[in-house]
Order: sequence, then C-alpha cells, then structure tokens
Amino acid sequence: MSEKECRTGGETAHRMGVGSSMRYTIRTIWNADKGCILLSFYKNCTEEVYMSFFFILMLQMIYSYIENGKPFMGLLRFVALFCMGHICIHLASAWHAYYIRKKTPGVYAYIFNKVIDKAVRIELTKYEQPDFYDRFARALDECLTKAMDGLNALAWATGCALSAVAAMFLIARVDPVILVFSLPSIIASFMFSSRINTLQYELRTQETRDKRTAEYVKRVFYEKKYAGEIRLYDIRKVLMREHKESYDSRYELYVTMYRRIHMLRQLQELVIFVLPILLAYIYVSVVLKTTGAAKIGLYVATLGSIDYFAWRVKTAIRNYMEAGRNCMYMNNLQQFLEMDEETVESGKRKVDQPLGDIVFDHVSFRYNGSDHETIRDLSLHIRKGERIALVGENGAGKTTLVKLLMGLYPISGGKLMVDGVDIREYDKRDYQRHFGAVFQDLQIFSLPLSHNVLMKEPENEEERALVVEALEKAQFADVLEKLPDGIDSMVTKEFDDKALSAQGDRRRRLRSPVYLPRSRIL
Amino acid sequence: MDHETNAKNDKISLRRLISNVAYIMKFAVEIDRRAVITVFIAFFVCSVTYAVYSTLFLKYFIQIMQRQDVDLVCSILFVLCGVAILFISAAVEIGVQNWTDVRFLRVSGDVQRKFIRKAADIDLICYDNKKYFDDFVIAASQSEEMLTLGVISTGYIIGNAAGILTLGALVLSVNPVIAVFPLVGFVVNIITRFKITEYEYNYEMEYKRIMRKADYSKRVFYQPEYAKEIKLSDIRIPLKLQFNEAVEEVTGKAHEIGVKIALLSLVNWIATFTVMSDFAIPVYLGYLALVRKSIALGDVAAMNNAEEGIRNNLDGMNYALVRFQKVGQFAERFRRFVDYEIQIENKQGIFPMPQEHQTLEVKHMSFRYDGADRDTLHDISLTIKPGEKVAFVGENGAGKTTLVKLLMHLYDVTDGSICYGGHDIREYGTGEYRERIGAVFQDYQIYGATLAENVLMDEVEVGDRERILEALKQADFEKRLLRLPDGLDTNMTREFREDGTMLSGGEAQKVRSPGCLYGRGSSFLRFLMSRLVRWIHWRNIN
Repeated sequence: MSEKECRTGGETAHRMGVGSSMRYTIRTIWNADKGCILLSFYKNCTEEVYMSFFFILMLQMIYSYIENGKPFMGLLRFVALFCMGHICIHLASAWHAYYIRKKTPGVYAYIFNKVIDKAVRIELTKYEQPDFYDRFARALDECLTKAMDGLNALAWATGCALSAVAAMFLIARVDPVILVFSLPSIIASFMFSSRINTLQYELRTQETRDKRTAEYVKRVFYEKKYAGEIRLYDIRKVLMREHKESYDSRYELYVTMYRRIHMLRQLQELVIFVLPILLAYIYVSVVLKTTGAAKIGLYVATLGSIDYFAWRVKTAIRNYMEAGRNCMYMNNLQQFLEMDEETVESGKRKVDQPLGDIVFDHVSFRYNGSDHETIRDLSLHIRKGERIALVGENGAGKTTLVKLLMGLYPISGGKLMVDGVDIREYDKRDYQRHFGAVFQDLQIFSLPLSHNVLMKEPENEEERALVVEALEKAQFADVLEKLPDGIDSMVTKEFDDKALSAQGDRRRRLRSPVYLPRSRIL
Repeated sequence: MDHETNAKNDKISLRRLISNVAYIMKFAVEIDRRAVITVFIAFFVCSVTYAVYSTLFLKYFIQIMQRQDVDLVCSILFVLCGVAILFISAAVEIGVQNWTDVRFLRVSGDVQRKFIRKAADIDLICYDNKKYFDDFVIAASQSEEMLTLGVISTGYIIGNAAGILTLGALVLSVNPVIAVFPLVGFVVNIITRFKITEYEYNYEMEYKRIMRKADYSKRVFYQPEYAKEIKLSDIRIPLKLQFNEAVEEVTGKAHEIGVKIALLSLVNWIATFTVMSDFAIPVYLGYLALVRKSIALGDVAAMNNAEEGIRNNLDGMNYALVRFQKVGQFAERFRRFVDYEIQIENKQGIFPMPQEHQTLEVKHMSFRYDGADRDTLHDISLTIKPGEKVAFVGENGAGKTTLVKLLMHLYDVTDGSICYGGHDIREYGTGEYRERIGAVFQDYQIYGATLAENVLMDEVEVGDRERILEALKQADFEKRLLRLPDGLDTNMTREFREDGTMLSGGEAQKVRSPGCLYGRGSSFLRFLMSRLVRWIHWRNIN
C-alpha cells in the first residue's frame, strides 16, 4: 500500500530515489533534534562492531588458550576485560533507548508543526481533490512514525555493515583464504535480495486493489454508521461477494508469485549460508589434515564466524531495505511541504471599514482537472445592505460562489470587486475576517466552547463576555446554564465523557458567528 | 476506535490466559488442522536439527581433526553429511514459511468472512454500547491476525522447548553444572523483562491516553471538511497549543518511565548476557579444561555453543510468551464475541407475515439504552392504520430515529410492545418483517459497489435493471447517469478503484432516495426520515 502511494505521489512531483529520501529523513530529524541522529549512529556502530570482537576475537583466543594449555589466569583476565567493555556498551544502549523514547514526541511535534503551517497556506481546492486524502493525509500520518523507524533501521544497517567489515578483518587475520568462501555470500545477498524484493514489490502492487477492497468491506461491517443499513438491506451479499472475490484473486496471485519467490529464497539460503559453510569446512579440513599444525582452536572459532559474517551482511541489507521503505514515507512529507501555495494573491491593503458593494464582473471558475467551468461568465452587483439569497440545485455552484467571494478559491476569469477594489488587493486575513459565512458543513472542534464560538482562544474578559452574549442570542442560554464549566466546557465527547455533545441543530446554533459584531457580510 | 479505556480490564489471571490461548488454538485447529500441524512439525524439526548441528557436529569435527588416524577423505565425507542435514533443515524451514504465507492468506479470508457475517448479525444495540462495540469490533477485526499470531507463537514455543531439551540433555551428559548458568540467567531475565514489559505497557497506555488530544488536532488538519474553517479563522492556534501540551506531557512521562526501564534493562543485560553467559561459561569451561583437565577442546566448543543455544531458545520462549499474553488478552474479547447470543437478527418467526397491510400499534412502549439513567422513549402509545401518513416532529435528540429503529425491529423494546396485525413484531421472522419496510435514514451511505447495487441495495439480477433505471429517472438522476463512464455498472468509490466515481452529497441523496426503493416489495411503512421532519421543525420556529 505504502509503495503504491509513494509511487503515485512521485509521478506528479519529481520521483525521489531511496537515497534522497533517506537524506531528507535524516535532515528533518537532525533539524528537530541532533542528539537523536548522533546517538543512534554512535550506539549502533559501537555496539555492532564490538560484537564482532566479542564473538570472534574472544572465541579465537579462548579456543587457542585451551588447545595450547596456557595458564587459566590469563584466560580469566582477558575474558574479564572483554566483559567490562561489554558493560560499557550496555550503558550506551540504555542511554540511547531512554533518549530516543524521550525525544520522539518532540520530533513528532516538529514535523507536525511544519505540516500545519503549510496546510494553512495550501489552496482549498487542493484539499478537495478526491485523491488528496489518500495521497497526503494518510501518508503524512504514517510518515510521522516512520521517520524514527527509518532512522533506527538506517543506523542499525550502518552498524551491521561496519561489524561485517570488522569480522572480515578478524577472519583474514587467521587465514585470508577463508574470506574467499564468504565473498560469494555478499554478492549473492545483494543479487537475491534485490530480486526477491522486486518480486515482493510487484506482489504488493498487484494486490493493492484487492487488499483495499477487502479492507473496505471489513470496515463497512464494523463501522457504526453503516450498521443500520447493513441489517435492513441485502447489500451485504454484494459486499461479501466482493470480499470473497478479492481474496480469491489475491490467493491466485500469491500462488504464482510465491512459486518464484520460493525458488529464489531456497537458492539464496544455499548460496549465502550452506555453500560458504561447506566450502570453508572442507578447506579447513584440508589445511588441518595436511599441515597438522596445532591451530584447530583458532580455525574452528573462525569457522563459526563465517556464519556470523553472513548473518551481519544479511541483517545490514535487510535493515537498509527497511530504512528505505520507511524513509519513502517522508517523500510524501516533502512533496506536501513543497506543494504550491495559494495562488490567490494576498495584497497589502487593509480593510478599515465595513465592506459594502460587491461586484462580480464576468467571473468564471473551473476546478483543477475539471473539464467544464463550474461558474461561467457570471456578473452580479450586490449593494451594501442588500439581502440576497442564491437559489439553485445541488451542485449548481452556490457554495463555490461564496468561496470565491471569500477569496478561498482563485477565480479563473473575470474580476471580483468589493468596494471598488479587486479582492486580490486586500490583505487576505484581514479581508476574510469581515465575513460571517456559516457553511452548511460547519465543523465543531474538540476544544472549549468559547474557542468554538470565537474560533480562537478568548484573550480577555471582553471577548469572554462576547461569547456569552453570542450564545444567548443563539438561544443557547438554557444549555449554557447547565454546563459545569460554562463556556470553558469541552465540546464533543472525543476525550472527555462528561463533555457537551453538539449535534445537528445545537451545533449550528453554537457556531453562528452571525452574532459576533465584527462580521459584516453574511 | 479507542481501545485504551479497556486498559484496566486487560489484566487477567494466568489460568485464564492459558485457557484463552487454548481456546484460540482450538479454534485455529478447527479452521485449518493441516496448516497448524505442519507449522508445529516444522518448528520442532528445525529446532532439533540446528541444536544438534551447532554442538555435536562441531564436537566431532574437532575430534576428527585432532585424531591422526582419520584421513582427509573421511573428514570431508563427515562434513558433507553434516552440512547436508543442515541444508535439508533450512530448506524445510523456508518451504514451510512460504507455504504458510500463501495458506494463511486464504484462511484469513475465510476467517474474516466468518466474523463479518457474525458482526452483521450482532444486534444493532451493541453498536451503541461502547463496551460491546469495543469488544466485538476489536475481536472481529483482528481475529485472523491474532489466530495467526497464536499459531506461530505456539510453534515458537514448541521449537524452543525442543531445542532446550535437546541441548539440555547434551549439557547434562557432559557436566550438569554448566546448565546452572543459563538457568540463573533465565530467571533474572524473566523477572526483569516481566517488569520492563509492564512498564512498557503502562507507558503505551499513558501515551495513547495523552496523545488522543494530539491525534485529534492532527486529524483535523488533514481532513478536507475542516480545511475551510482552519483557513478562515485562527482556530489553528488553540489546536496547535493542545497538540504541543500533549507532546510535553508525554515527554515527561517518557522521562519518568524511561529511567526505570533503562535501569532494569541494564540489570537484565549485564546479569543475563554479560555475567551469566559471556563471562561465566567460558571461564568455567576454561577452568574445566585447563585446571581440572576434565574436558577437551571439542567439548568446550560444543558446550559453549550449547549454552548459547539454550540462552537463545529461552530468550525466544520469553518473547513467545509475551506474544502469548497479547493473544490471551485478545481472546477475552474474542470469546465474548463468539459466545454472544444474537437476539434479534435472523430470528425465525412464530407467525408468518400477513399478506394484507395491517394496523401498526405501539402500546405503552418504553426504551432505554444500556447504562442510560432514563428512558429515551417513555410510555409511548400510537396506532397507525394502513394507508395513513404520519410525521414525527421533534427536536434533535427527542428520539425520532430511535422510534423508527424500534418500529423496524432494529432494537428491542425495553417495556410495552409494538404490534403489527395483532401480533407482537417479535413474533415475526426478523428478515421477513423488515422486508416490508422501506426506510431512508438521514445518514444513508453510499457503498463501494456499482451504482445499480447501491440503488437496489442487493445483488442485481437480470430483470432488475429496468426497475433501477426507472427509479433513477424518478429521482432526477438521469442526466448524471449519462455522464457516468459505465452507466449503471459504474463503481461508486475511489477508495480501491481508480475508475470509480465519487458522488456529491446531493447526488448521493438521489441515488439512495426513497423513489428508488419503490420497486421494493410492498412496504407498509415508509419512513422518510427527518428531512421532512426537520422542515416542519424549522417552519415551526421561524
């Protein structure tokens, strides 16, 4: 699913490679908190490299000591030394875990704040494109958590890679020829991993639609809003059929794809693990049998490290892939942050008096990607104090017209003048504040009541009084009286079961800015 | 969905936990015995093979190398045999893994459908009760995932146990003292890890609780329906504030719990890993070999690996047990869901539905939602004769929708009765009774199916298309229909289909308007919910 989204997202903007999305992820976290980056890399690199020495070098020394019958105290001394080092590594790990846990919410907040600042500046029409939610909202949501996962995987991959290099060095110290048997495993890992990954990617892309279908059906059955209708009609038969079909087609896909994946995995196992082990054992047998040197301990310890080496390489690759997958989510963030900002220009002119005459002069408007104009060549003159009602069918463009007037959409043709001034010349925030539009689909926010009325935090007693006054005018006084915290009561039961629930009519009354004196145009 | 409110109920006794896991396993075996047994055997075989390979194979290899009387060819033959066994075991492991990936997919589909079916029949009232709703929805929506997890975790435990027994037998045959170290390590590990898991769990719960506010703010900013107002007002400032406050609070908690976890982790790592295994074992083996001279290099290597193997297996078991706990907690809900007895849906009637339209009578009927402190509807009586048109007028929350839901037998009355044609509606078959009702709710939904299916709300058969076209014509949807790419077969969602079409609110209303349902049976009641009602309501107050 994720790859799919990234891919479709990438087609419109520039297609970002894995490398650049990793860099972007690191840069973003770096800006949020440098410690996260530094500590992650430090912890993973030291820990993994130390592990190579701990497992290979220490074992080599122990076996040699025992084979050659050296004094026990010597063995005790160096084992103790190695363990002291190990404890130091643990300290860094514990600190790292603590630090990451503590800083993650902050990084999360950093990214979120960037998103919000951007969201406010993006044109409304962008939000209303059907794929907006899929492409950005969901993806952005995920990228918040994936960024830290990506960093962790990347740091770990780096650590493993370094650890593999250290292992190579330790093996070469005993006998460089043994390395020759490990090399195929590196090449093969790259080769097979990328083949298998391609296949799995293909599988995931191909199953996306079926997977989503099944998820959709599942959701319909478990969501309350559908529950009534599901029980009344036979629509469930249709949905069940879709569910079954989607699973059947996924199963067929899996059967064919897994045949290939299976073959590759078996080959991979053979080449990465079994073959190097077999060859190395045979080689060591030959060396030990022909030379007869008292090096059995050293060689046997090193044989074990071939396994270890292959395992490190494999882990490094797996984590690198994982890091790539996670960082790809950040592409969505980058695209979002780089998205075109509003084309409705904001002018400098302040609005110093209540707005009056409105003139639509041959105004046209077309939604992005739409093949016909929603509003075409509209001219209209509304004088100050006039009350007008726009009447029309669903989808005739009534709401669009209001949004144009408020400067929420950029007009595609013609001119829109208020008080003889093109609205684009006004300072936008200032201009919009003069409207008291109550949209049909007004939203209630899970914030205190006062915030919902003012649509901001009340700053002083006057504003608080204003809230009470507005609510009284909206026939809300009786409800207000019963509220324990008055205008500071939380609205909606989102996180407070005792909160006021606002539905339908009550919701409309609560959010009628009509009663706020500042608004002049309804 | 909020699961966090159930945090407190999540603690269950060990006995209950085991019984729960057993329940899940029994369920899994019933669904696909072959897959379960295959997984178990694979885990067992691979674990034992690997245990033997890492110890005995190494031991004999060293002995062969040390003995002058074994020649090179024999040595190589020995290596070939050993590696061949390793290869076979690896092949089995990968084979079973891939096989189960595919097999579990199909089983998942079956399990999902099984539970979806049950969910669709659960009485509607459960959806209004948060407790039931959480239980059922979570149980049903995670069932296949948890069944898989249960099977795999059990597989791990079988594999780990087999490994421990094999290696343990080897260790005991050489020197029982060596077995003491991993055991002590295991005990320390299990105690500290248990504590850590508890802290982690508490933190997770706190995190979820605190971050609800932050998540809310986040959601608001992403959703197109809020976009307009966010741009027009300064509401983003308090929303941002709310978000940042939550983040600060959670950081404080992270510090508090983070310190405890860090200290415990240190104890765990140092005791279990550094001291008990990496220090004690080599030193003790060295002592046996160098001072006591009781064992040779081959045994040292084998014992060292055996100990490492035991530790890994114990560790693996530990993780499997943590997963078991998750499965066990889940099973609490799962059992409640599976055992829930459906009251209303699919009930067979005592009486057949009368063919003619009959009088509908509501007699002293009361209804109260579970856990509410007063009746939503109290002592209602009314009679509706065939052909009569009735409108319910009332404020929001007065109970209009609830009344309709009761009339449609989506809820059961708390007191009194609803009778149709002289019989209590509970005495008719639920499906048969509802067949006769055409209800259009205010909150109608459009489904991810074709246009025709959305109109009919059923599977479309050959003769239906005419009727659907007629209905759409009546609903004034004809013009829009012409512009749809596949006409009646156009898919009505973009969620999983790129070629789908999204209808606007007004268009959706037309598709699902009562006009479209005229073709549907002989409805004795037709509820035009609340649009009409609201209209009357507005007229009254304005």
